[in-house]
Amino acid sequence: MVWYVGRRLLQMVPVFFGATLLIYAMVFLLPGDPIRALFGERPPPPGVLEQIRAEYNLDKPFIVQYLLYVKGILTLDFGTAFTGRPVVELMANAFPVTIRLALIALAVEAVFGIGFGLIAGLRRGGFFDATVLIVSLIVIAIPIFVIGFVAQFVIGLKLELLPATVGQEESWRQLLLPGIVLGATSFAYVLRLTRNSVADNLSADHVRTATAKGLSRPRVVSVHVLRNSLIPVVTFLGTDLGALMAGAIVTEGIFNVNGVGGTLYQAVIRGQGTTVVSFVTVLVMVYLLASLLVDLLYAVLDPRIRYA
Amino acid sequence: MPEPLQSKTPRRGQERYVAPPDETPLQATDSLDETAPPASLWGDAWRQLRTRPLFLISSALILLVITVAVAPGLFTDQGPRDCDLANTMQGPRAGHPLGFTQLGCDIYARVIYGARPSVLVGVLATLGTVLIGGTVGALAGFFGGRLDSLLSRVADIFFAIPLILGAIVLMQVSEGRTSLTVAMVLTVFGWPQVARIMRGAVLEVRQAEFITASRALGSSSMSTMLRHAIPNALSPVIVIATVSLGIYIATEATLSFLGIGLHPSIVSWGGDISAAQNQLRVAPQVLLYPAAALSLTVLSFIMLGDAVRDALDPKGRKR
Amino acid sequence: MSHAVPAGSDRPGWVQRTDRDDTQPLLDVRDLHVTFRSNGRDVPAVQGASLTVYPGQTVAVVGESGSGKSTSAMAVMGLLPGTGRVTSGQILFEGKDIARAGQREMMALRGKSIGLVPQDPMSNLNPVWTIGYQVREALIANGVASGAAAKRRAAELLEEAGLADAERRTKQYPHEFSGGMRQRTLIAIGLAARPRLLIADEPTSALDVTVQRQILDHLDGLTRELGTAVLLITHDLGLAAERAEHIVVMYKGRVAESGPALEVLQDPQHPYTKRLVQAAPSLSSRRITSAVRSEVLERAERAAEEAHARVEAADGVHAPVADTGHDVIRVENLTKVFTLRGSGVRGEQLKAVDDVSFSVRRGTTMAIVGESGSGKSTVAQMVLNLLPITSGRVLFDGVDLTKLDKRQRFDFRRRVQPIFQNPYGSLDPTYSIYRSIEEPLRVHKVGDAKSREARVRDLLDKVSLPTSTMRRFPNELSGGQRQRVAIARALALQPEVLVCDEAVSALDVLVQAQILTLLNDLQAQLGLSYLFITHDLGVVRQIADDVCVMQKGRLVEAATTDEVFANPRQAYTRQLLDAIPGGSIALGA
Repeated sequence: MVWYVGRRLLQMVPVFFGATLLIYAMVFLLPGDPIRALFGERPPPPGVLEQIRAEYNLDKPFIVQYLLYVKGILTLDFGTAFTGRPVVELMANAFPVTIRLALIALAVEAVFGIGFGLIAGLRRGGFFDATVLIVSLIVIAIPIFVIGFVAQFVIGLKLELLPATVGQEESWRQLLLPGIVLGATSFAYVLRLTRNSVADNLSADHVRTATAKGLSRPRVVSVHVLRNSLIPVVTFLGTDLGALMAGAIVTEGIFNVNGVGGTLYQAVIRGQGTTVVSFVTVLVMVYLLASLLVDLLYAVLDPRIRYA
Repeated sequence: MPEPLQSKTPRRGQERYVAPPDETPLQATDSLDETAPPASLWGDAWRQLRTRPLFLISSALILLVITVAVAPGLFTDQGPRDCDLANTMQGPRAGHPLGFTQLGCDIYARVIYGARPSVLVGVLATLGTVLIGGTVGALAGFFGGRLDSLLSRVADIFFAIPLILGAIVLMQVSEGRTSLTVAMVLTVFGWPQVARIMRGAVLEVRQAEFITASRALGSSSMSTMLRHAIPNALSPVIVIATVSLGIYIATEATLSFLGIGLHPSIVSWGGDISAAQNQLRVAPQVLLYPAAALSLTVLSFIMLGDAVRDALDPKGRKR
Repeated sequence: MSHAVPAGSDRPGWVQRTDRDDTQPLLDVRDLHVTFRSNGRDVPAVQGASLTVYPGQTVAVVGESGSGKSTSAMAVMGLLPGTGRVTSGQILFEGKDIARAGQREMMALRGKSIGLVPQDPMSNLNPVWTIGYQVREALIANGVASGAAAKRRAAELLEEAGLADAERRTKQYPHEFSGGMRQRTLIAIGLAARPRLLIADEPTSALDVTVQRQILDHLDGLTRELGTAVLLITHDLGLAAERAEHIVVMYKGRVAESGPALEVLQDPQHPYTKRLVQAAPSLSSRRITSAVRSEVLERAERAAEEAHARVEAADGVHAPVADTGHDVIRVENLTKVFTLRGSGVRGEQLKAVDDVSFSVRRGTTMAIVGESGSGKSTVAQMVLNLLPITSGRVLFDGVDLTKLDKRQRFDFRRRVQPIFQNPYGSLDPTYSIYRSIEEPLRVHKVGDAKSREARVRDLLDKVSLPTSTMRRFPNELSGGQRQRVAIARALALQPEVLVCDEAVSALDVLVQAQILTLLNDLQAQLGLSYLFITHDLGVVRQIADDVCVMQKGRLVEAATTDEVFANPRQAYTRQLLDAIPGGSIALGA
């Protein structure tokens, strides 16, 4: 177990440096004036150009620039945003609401995805299974911003069941609709994963042996089928936590949430490159952390890993 | 039950019993049925597919979308940029079945002309990821050892950056923003997924005895990999490529929606949806039609992938 | 053999049944029909099988794969997989028809009245629960014990099944157990609630022979003491005859013959049973003879000369480092050390092959026999020059394999060819049979397209397959047919030596006998030499001239086959010989 955790942590190190280097290189090594490109088609206000040059140490060699950038990440110093506020401050404001949004999405995925997936897997080939499989394909196929607009239009504006946009107070009720939209695609994936996993496990030899012991069907399903089937599902949910933060860009943009995604969305459409890079870096870190957590979770869930 | 031939221990039900030989004709051991038509692996999969409604519907839709993308002029004589502000937000009328946008453009024509860049991005990005990811995955899986460690770590690094985030950063600094640029950006962050799948499949095939047999014949590693390992590892890659094609189209639309995908001068579904979002309350149809076209296209590719997976997966076939 | 059976009757589930009537059948299956639904069609799996088991009796159902033996057993438990269902007939358990019993009724019977010991110990325990939990579950579900009593009882049951240090082992997970230990756990589970009938479905076929024998002996002792009836499903006629009083031989879903075990074996009546008895490797006692040995050896020498001429014409120089006389392969002090990737910083060293020396005489068959982990396949890999040698050397026709340059290695490939175990893995599923057999010719640039096709036809003919086979694909062929194609491919380059790594182990008995005969005929025709790797001493007796017995990487005994069977010098060899199921049964004429 200790070895396993240690090895995972060690493997994280090159990935951390590689990913940050990649992001850094993308922005600053591409041909053309990187600073000018960061601003898109809008010309930068006077003075800002020099300010950014100094801030990113563009006069120094690349490797020094990169190391200073990594130092910034590690000391949570992401520089100053377009508005003059430190980027860290923006993040501190943005993260709590996004975390709440992600929790709603995760709950939707877990409850409905696992629930429907279990029923479909147990009744493989039946009507419910076929219907649910087609519906999940459709949900996966519709881009999230289309789902967002349709949900906003139908549920928020026409039926007025839930608030169509999120105001300043950011109540749970306001976050419910964007949370569901955010979790929609992953819900479909969780459903299909659970369904296939349950269906596979159902025909496993050890399940037949459990039945042969004289166990009741509910017990066989809950103790032997579901327990084993949930291993890949739980790990998917873990990885998804990191991915949800990234997916929040579109959802928060549509529903006007001032979270990580919303801030990033605003920064993207206003062409505020420095903020974009800082936020993307942090989100990648969150994603990496989530996948590390997943690995540990995996070791807890599957005894075979613990000793590997 | 026929009469027992011998009965030494007459416990009921356990008398000596010999079936009459004609009842169970002894076939020549292990003879080959020469009447059945030959069936290759791919031939079998094709026969399976042909009868699946999911496959028939999705491939018909894909054919339609591709035709529209190649020759939009066949479907409309309106140009996508023939806009007249006098027609702003007008409803459907003869020759303009879907009505007009805020700028007075024909929605139907824009939906038709929006297909090409989307399909182009999907196809190019899929080609790119399969070529790069497939090569890296096959090399890593087949040769293993240090090469595998190196290639897998590099893939991990790209994998650590979610597709949409990486694309946002790269598109921010890209110039031009044509279908090709978007496809290249998607390839940069999409290849590790294909590489992982190819590597896993090749690793599995590598254990097979026909690989050892090929080496024992004196074939070089390279030729064994190309002739035996890769062909047998292709099915999961084909599936993921088909599904990814749909996903790339959706991602391109998302980027265009965020304003950092295709250049605004290119007619695209994502761009049109983005432009229509402000009028969602007054004219939802302006947003709805391109969104429906986009979703249907993505759906067809994902459905096709699903159908192909069922046909190629030997485990699925038993069910 | 000692059995840790608790003697007292005060324990839960340990009540001797007094109401038992030994004259009435415990299980009476009458005219059972089972069908599976596949692609909208009903495919019959069992067509009118009948069998009877009396209390305390062991009845064996014998048959090849596809004979319906396992399906019949699963029908008794109400555990038919997938779309399988009983279409007609009766399954009377203690006089009551359970063929169409409901789930609730079957649940009450399973575990408590009918126990199961399944086939594959690797896949039949749930990997995420502890051993103890999985045994306890059987106790609790059948109301035998609960709470702390169940914990205690689980440990007792495991100990009873022959697991040492059972108390501590209950906390371990299945992946920490060896195959034999898992099978003992499954026996403990099957017998946990003291069922009156135990269905043992190939309970030991996945295990090494010596472990197999121990476990079967143990199971025998236990069920005898408990008075449990056993329905033993097996493909091994020898094993059935040794363990059961009554035998039911099944063939293609029907009962071909049934009767008292010895009677059926010694005086088989049905043509199928007769062939089965003839083919059973554990029962037959002689090498297949289909040619005069001296002629074979002569042919082998001639083949070697031809090969020399071929190689010299291609390569120019061919310099042997030693004159190996009649030995085509000589292995000297061969050692292979693997470095395992352990959890520590430095990998563990595993000596898979330890100082092994032997030689293969031209035109003969040398068998290497051993259990899993004996290193026999590693030897084969090194002889094939597919695995680097740690130390020692392999001489092929007097030439050191490690000293070959690239060109010479390529030529060597023509002269030594492998045949593998798994008939489903040895042919590329995307290649047609024609391409598979032609591949070696193409790689070595032999002939043109036309002459290659003629050669493929000729090779198919040699392995007794119709030429129309060449348009087919591996997935259309049976295991035996694929193995014949693999032999044809190996013969394409006219090699002198075939290395057969468990080449017949995955095949049914009759097909196995057929392939062995084919190999033997080919040896006579073409003067081939075989290095035959196997775990099955029965097969050794049928095909080999000489034997090497390997254990844990070391060579423990090497002699001619007749000597080893008549007069084994090492304890381990004797142990292996004793473990051959049915080896002690004398057959009638």
